[in-house]
Amino acid sequence: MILDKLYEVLNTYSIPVYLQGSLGKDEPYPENFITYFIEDSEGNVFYDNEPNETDWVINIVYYTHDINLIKDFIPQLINDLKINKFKVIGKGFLTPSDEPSCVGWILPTIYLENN
Amino acid sequence: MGVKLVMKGFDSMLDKIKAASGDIDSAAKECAVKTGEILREEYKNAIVSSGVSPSLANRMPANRVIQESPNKTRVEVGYPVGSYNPNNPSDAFIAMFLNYGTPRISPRGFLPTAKKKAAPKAKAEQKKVLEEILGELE
Repeated sequence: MILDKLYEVLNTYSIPVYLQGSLGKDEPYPENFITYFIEDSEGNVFYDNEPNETDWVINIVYYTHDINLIKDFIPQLINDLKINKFKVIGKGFLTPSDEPSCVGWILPTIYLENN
Repeated sequence: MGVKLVMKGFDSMLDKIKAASGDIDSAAKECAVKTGEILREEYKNAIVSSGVSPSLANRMPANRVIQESPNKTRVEVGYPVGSYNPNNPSDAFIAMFLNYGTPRISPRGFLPTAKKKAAPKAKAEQKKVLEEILGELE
């Protein structure tokens, strides 16, 4: 299952991992953490009207209160995702968060699953 | 023993290509502009369909068409970004937070929805534009 594969990779860094949007209104942000959201899935390579592949589209976001950590952590995360067959589209991009002291780096990612 | 190959008819084809070359630039520009219009419409629709207040969609500015060189046109769709003010975020950042979510806000995902819906319409419109302008090239 895609979530198991995703957790396997994201839980290797000893920082919290959350579903995007799941933190409570008054819940403080950890120093560094990752969120994810499965945006879409699409069937591909059809045979007899059944897809033989599924493309999962996932947004993975690394949030930190120290923007300097991004330049080291993101290449490592991209590489680890790649080793585990998650393909990051481009190299991602910066986003502010709803906490002024916290910034994020969004990695749009695709995982190709053989059905 | 050598073989001589004579091919005819290229001169007229080359003349047509040369005559159309000016039209190719304008065709490409028109494709970019019309694609941008389709995407803007689907972007606005997707914002509203995702449950966001229509006022954000209604504030979306007109597309910006930038002629980067005689044969390169860029069309910017959506809200200009600018700098981030956490006390008064601009529409660009509101849209970004709602589309991608934040740790406290669930993503609405209206950008990929808009792109998916716009793609076949843009393809059909581009085909129409190219056939109209370059039809003589057949």
